[in-house]
Amino acid sequence: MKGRFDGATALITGGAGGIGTGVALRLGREGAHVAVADLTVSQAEVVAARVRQEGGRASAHALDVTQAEDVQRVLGEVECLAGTVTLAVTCAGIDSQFAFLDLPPEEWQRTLAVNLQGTFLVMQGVARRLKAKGAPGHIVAVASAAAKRPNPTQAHYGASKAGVVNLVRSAGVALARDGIVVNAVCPGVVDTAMTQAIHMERSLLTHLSVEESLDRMIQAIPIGRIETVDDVAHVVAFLLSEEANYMVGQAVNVCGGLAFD
Amino acid sequence: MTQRFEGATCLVTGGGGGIGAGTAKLLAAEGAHVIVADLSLERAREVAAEIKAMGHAASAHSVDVTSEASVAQLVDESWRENGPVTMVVTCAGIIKIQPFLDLPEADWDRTLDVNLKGTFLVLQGVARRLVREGLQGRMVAVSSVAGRGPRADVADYAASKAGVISVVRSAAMALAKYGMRVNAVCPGVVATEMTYAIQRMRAEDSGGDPDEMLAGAVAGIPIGRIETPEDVARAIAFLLSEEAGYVTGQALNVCGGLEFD
Ligand SMILES: NC(=O)c1ccc[n+]([C@@H]2O[C@H](COP(=O)([O-])OP(=O)(O)OC[C@H]3O[C@@H](n4cnc5c(N)ncnc54)[C@H](O)[C@@H]3O)[C@@H](O)[C@H]2O)c1
Ligand SMILES: NC(=O)c1ccc[n+]([C@@H]2O[C@H](COP(=O)([O-])OP(=O)(O)OC[C@H]3O[C@@H](n4cnc5c(N)ncnc54)[C@H](O)[C@@H]3O)[C@@H](O)[C@H]2O)c1
Repeated sequence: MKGRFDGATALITGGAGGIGTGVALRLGREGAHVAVADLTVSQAEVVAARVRQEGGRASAHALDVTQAEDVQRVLGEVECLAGTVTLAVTCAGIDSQFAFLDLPPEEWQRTLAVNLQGTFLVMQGVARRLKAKGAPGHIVAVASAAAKRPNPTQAHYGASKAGVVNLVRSAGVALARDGIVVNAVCPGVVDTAMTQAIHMERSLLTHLSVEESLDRMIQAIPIGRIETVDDVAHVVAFLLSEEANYMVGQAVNVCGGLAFD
Repeated sequence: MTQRFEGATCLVTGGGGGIGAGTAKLLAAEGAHVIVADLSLERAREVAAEIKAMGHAASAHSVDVTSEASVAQLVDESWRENGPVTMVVTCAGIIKIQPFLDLPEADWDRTLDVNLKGTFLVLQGVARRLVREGLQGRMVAVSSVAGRGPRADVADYAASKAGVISVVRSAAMALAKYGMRVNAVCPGVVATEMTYAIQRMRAEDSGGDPDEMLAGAVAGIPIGRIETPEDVARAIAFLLSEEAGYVTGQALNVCGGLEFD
């Protein structure tokens, strides 16, 4: 499989996180320059260094996806350094657990800003530059199986991810004839820091231990094991490849059978 | 990417048709021995011969997927000749354009028999044998965007394809504990004999020109071009591959943006 993305430039937002790291390593191995962008540049640099250690090309960028100017600046930086971004994966995301009746409006707003508006800003920024160059490209947004299920303790998160699924449809259709392929993945329960944090917070709401809370969740997964970042990265790589060029605006559930529609 | 399926045997039902043939060729080119099975043994033979002429491995079989005995015989012969069938793609299908008010019971039964029961029998037949032998497998059923939305002049076909999505979900849940994955693809408007026949039937009913009607249908596809059997085959191959190891029970829309849920 080596070389599928030779010569391409990939931007990964939330690139210092669990899924972002997995995707960065994967794309680096397959030949792309990987621009790892995250809130803290030093953490992005740790991931960029790992990509380089494996013989890949990578750079680290400080990025707050909620800030339009920040997004523009990073896209400019990456373009100068490694050429126009032709592959983008939006992994930046946040989550928190609140009983529905206690969910504060500020938390709703913050979550929608990062997960939904942040995805939009990156997607639009990348697509504008591609369109200006007349170049084709591939964009994958990381949504979530939560987009398709009720989320009694994270209504804000579910709504933000459902928004991403719909945004991907709109962008997918809007950009299809420009050769810009936009799709999403909906992971389930992935073995990352976010999942640990979720079950830490849920244990406070449910009075289960963190382990019990996570175990119960894993037992409900038909495929019978927790999802790895590589499980997600494989599908992301497929959607970034030419193989997926006839898929427009789809949200692919990569969740071991937790969600369907 | 060339030898993803080295050493595997893959059964393709409806392998003599457009999508089936495209899929059989792609899988064979990536190393699989392909069993091309079709109601028309003649067409199955043609496809198998083409594959062999390209230097790859294939054999031809006749099958009527509506008959449990015929499917059982196909499974037995396949096993005997080529060892365990660990990959299955069900492409056998029929369609007939008829106004809802005129749709005869016999046609309803026939369409459901081939498209839905036929898919079930093939998935169940192969899965039974795999489970008995303690082996794992991967299966992809070809559904359709018609299984996702309303179809005034092919109500039977649409119902059968919605049924395929459902049976795939059920099979995925039932078989997950045996390490088997079952998924579907939903193609849109594919350049095959089925699509040309549909346009001819619709043109006959409306007095229009079949080529113009097809051009109109294609103009309505967001991506702006007709789907090729290879577009479908690439997604099927992905779902059969290790890369899709955490994807099960899903129906992937591979349709250029025609359908989403
Ligand atoms: N972990 C799961 O089970 C799971 C399941 C489905 C979807 N997801 C989604 O996958 C994505 C990645 O999640 P993860 O599990 O790797 O979590 P993670 O917490 O390890 O990574 C998220 C990253 O996003 C970064 N980030 C947060 N706000 C940002 C901002 N404003 N600008 C730029 N970067 C920002 C964080 O610094 C972090 O590095 C998220 O969108 C998450 O919602 C995760
Ligand atoms: N062509 C499209 O636009 C399109 C779109 C979405 C889905 N599909 C589906 O894709 C599949 C393949 O369609 P295609 O376009 O290649 O059509 P096709 O007519 O070229 O192929 C269908 C094949 O199924 C075989 N078949 C029919 N009845 C059978 C039976 N009882 N047992 C065994 N084989 C049988 C036929 O002989 C034929 O070779 C079908 O299930 C179809 O519904 C097609």
